[in-house]
Amino acid sequence: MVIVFEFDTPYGLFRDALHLADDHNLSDAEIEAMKQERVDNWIAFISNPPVAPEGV
Amino acid sequence: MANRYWVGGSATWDSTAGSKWALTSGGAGGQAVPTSTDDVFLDAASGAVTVTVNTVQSCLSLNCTGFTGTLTGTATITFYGNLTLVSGMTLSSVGIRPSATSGSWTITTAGKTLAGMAFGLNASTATWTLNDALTTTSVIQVVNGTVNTNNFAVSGGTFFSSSTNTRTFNTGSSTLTFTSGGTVWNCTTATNLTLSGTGTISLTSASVKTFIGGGIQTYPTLNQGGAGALTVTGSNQFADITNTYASTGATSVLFTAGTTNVFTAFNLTGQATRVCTLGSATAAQATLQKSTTWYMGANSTNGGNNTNLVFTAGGGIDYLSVSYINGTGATASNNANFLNFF
Repeated sequence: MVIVFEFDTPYGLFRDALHLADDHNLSDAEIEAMKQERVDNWIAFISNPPVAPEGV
Repeated sequence: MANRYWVGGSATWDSTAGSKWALTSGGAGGQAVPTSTDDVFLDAASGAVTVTVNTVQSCLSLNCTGFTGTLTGTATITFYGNLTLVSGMTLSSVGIRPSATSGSWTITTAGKTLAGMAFGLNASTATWTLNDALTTTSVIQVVNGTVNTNNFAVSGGTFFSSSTNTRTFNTGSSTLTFTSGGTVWNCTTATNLTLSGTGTISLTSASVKTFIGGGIQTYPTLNQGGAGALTVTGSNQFADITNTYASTGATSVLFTAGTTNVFTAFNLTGQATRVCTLGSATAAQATLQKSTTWYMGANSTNGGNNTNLVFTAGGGIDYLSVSYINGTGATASNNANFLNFF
């Protein structure tokens, strides 16, 4: 199953998706935490981007 | 075409078959090293192992559903089908490159940050559609084929699509964020590039950065999202231009002298104590065009060498410091305030 979600952040609209097995046993709270982790990681990337590796 | 399941434990994915590959999940090893016509599976039965790629490897699709191990290395996996990463795996440094020459494929990265993404380095008519947000630490390139962002967020260091190759970048309503300074967006040669979408291109670097527009007339909203001055080159057309960095500090947006950039809407604004400088990159005018009067706002500053701008409220923007800008396509010259400011 696919859960498309979005957050309206100071850095713009973040839209992403979770692809979960149909028989997943995640709770709603765990799914919400996964969504929050995605947007937190995105904001961290935007606000403090890592140095790009060479030669890729 | 065959399936290849990793059963090699922690080992190097290279030209030596050994006992690393099986025909079925958790099956007996000893199958041949996958080629560009074989689907590769790193799955639950592969175990929490480390698969290292230090020489270029190929596969059709790369499917990591159920994999809890690490995929790492110094080289690149070129895949000619779908890419499916999962949140439970670790992805470290290895390059992953979509290389299909035809067909329609999906990219699912599950929140993993990739080293870079070059779509269609070889001549290609393939279409790649994102299944979720895409983040890379370096350049995102659209070289050949069609990329559909499917409205998901796309983030990277820089964007590059400069060639005469036939390619399409459908950005949908995505937020495209690029974080590097220097030439952060490069469409120098936009021949045969189709770009469409209604989202936003946001450039967030604190360093000076350049958006080489290449004359594309279908840009979505361009956002100044960082402290570093943004210079736009080329005569382009945008849905809108904004400045989210205004909530943090002062910044600049400059256009190359002699160019004409057209805007459906123009919402580039500063804030009190965080003025946005709007001007030409050099001491000669750049032209901005929109269909309504160029009201600059009551608190904006006329820095001189402007024409057809009206420094009163009315356009929804304010706190700009403006110089060497010619506003066209408006009725400013008929405005009663015009003579008061020029």
